[in-house]
Amino acid sequence: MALYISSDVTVFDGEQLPTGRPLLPTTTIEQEIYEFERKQRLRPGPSIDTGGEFFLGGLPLRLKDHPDKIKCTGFSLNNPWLPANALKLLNKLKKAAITEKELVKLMELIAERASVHFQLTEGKFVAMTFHGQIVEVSDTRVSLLKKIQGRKYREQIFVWRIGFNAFSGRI
Amino acid sequence: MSNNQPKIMTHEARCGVRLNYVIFPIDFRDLRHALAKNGYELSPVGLLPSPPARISFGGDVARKGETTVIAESDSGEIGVVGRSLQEVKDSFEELANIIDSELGISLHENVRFYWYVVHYKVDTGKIPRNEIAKVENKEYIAQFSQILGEDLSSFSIRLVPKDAIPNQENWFDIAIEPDVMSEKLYHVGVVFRTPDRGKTETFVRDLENTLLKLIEVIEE
Repeated sequence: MALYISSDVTVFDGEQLPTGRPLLPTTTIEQEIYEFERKQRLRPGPSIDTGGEFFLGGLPLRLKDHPDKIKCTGFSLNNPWLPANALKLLNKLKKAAITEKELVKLMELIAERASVHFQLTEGKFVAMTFHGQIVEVSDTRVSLLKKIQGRKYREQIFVWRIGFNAFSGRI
Repeated sequence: MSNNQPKIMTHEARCGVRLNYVIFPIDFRDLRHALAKNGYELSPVGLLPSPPARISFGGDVARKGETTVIAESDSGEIGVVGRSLQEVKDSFEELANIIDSELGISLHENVRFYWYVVHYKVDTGKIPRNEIAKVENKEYIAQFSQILGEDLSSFSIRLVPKDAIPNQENWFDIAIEPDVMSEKLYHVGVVFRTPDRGKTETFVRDLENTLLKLIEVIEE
């Protein structure tokens, strides 16, 4: 027997349909839905069906709304967007299954995206991570190397001259 | 500035559409899936409830290149933010095509209004503060100066359609003022909205030239 407080009884096609909210789930499926909704804190959607709740075959018909608005937090300004081919190569790099040619291609792609994202001036020497994060910028290669020498980085970095196809080194 | 040609630089450009539905017709999970499939990087979000639970959402949804897809399901808006007018115009069309082909929803149907918000910096080689002061209404400025007991001048010029109501679909607002960070630059802010797609395209097509012409009039 279903446990609910019957606030009204509606006759529908000769069948009696109880309206009102059940207090406890009575079937396994209802139990699962109940548990899911409890965990997800879902609530009945007010904009689809505005009538009273009714159940057919023990399953609720109405859609549910998630009470919390999903706020997309956005992106870190420190990392440029990378195209799909760069991400594929990054994945290969992680697995150490990358060829020298692919590595240079990856650095080229990252340097290109980073220079657009950070609006870097052509000719500058830049040390960056393989996710396009800028570590250091300088006018000459020597001054850049002086700035980064002796420092320890959590990620591998490489040096690139913006606007040139010039791989200058990898640390 | 090296020569006398005015230089217009986009600070930020945004464009989008507000749809006229009771419930925002784009599902967040479907949108993310469609964008990821088309090379967009998705913004990080927590655990999402599975369908058919409806989710309201807002903020930066995804990015590709230098443009970010933004949405506000509560107000029914979706659009893009980028670094130039042309970039956001093209990106919005790309977004509309993706949503149409992947989700079967046209961003050009049931439109309440299209909107553009663009901020420019303009370098004409002159000092905007002095140029803007030239077009002020001297009679009113004299009276304002008397009331405040201080010599005053106008800081900005704002142009809006005559008799239009700001809180309506058909509206534009062009503000021309000195840039607060650099006295040699103008800051020009533009807000435009209309339900008419054709009008939007016409307005956007010549916007940058139009703004330069307005500044030319100020500096005459």
